[in-house]
Amino acid sequence: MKKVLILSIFALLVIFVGCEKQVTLETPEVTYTVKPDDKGGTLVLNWDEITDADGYYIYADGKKIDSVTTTSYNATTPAALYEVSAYAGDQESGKDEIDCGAIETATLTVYGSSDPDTTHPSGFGFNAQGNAVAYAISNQNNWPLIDYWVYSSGPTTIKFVSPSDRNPPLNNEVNVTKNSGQTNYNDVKIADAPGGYSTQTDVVSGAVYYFWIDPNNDGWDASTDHFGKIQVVGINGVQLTLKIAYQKIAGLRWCVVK
Amino acid sequence: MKKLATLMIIAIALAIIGCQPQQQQNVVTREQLDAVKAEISALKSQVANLQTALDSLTANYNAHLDKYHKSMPKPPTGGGTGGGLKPPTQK
Repeated sequence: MKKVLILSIFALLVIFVGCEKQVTLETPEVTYTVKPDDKGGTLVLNWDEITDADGYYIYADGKKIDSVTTTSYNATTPAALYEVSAYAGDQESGKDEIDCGAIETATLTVYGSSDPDTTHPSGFGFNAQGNAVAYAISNQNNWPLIDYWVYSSGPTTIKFVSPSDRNPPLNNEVNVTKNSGQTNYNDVKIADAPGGYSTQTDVVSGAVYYFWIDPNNDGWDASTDHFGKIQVVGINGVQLTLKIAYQKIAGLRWCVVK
Repeated sequence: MKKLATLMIIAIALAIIGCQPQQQQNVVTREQLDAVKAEISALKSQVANLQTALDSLTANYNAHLDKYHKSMPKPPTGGGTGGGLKPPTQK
């Protein structure tokens, strides 16, 4: 009788263990906003609660950096890619990702305004994909597309200039730059918050500059403003070779390239 | 006697000098003055007409600029791609 009882208990245990429900976690659908408090230094990730999830993992550039039980996360570490997954025990859902990498233009050649060849481009702007494009000033159709003008009065005086600061102006955008004080392009992961940016900045070979495109000249906002970085790779006379990263998420100051 | 002769000569010299006819001064006649006045009046009238014509031309030019070139920036001047610098601003 005892044997039957033990066998029955054992059988019941096997049944209970075998019938434990297999949890299938859905992948969170992540959206983002740019936090205005620190003027674009934080990306706020949001998602809906996932049924049966114990919490959520946060990944930055493929590395797990945090786990939370809330459905929101303030991402303050600049990265090119953020991912969120749900977990329950040792199970993990798929990851949803937010691409926050800066768009890189590896080489852009522009010329200072004193260059005698008027077909040479001395302005540049960014297209819808975030790529930098050089424009010749001699073609007035280019003027509305220009975000920065390269002024020169000779090889020793070259400046990044807002298109509004040209006389006559190329357009009315008041875009500014700031020397980061660094020369290692990859080390510059976030542009400074507004303050200390100028509509005219001296160009130095090797230096990395932050840029802030503020077309409405209404201070920081997350609708029309864009940030990024420019490295002056080389100067030959009044010819500049630039490497540029453009953050396509409006208002976000991160400039990490994938 | 000599004294008398000397005094006589001096008196005659003074009389001759004093009797010299006065040098004719530049005198503008009333007719000439009237002619100049008329000329000035005509010139004033011409200037007023020119001013009116200039105002009309300026108004037409501005209207043309507003209609056809309002959003067109001015072309660059000088060497290279041209253009000067306004004072920089910070933000």
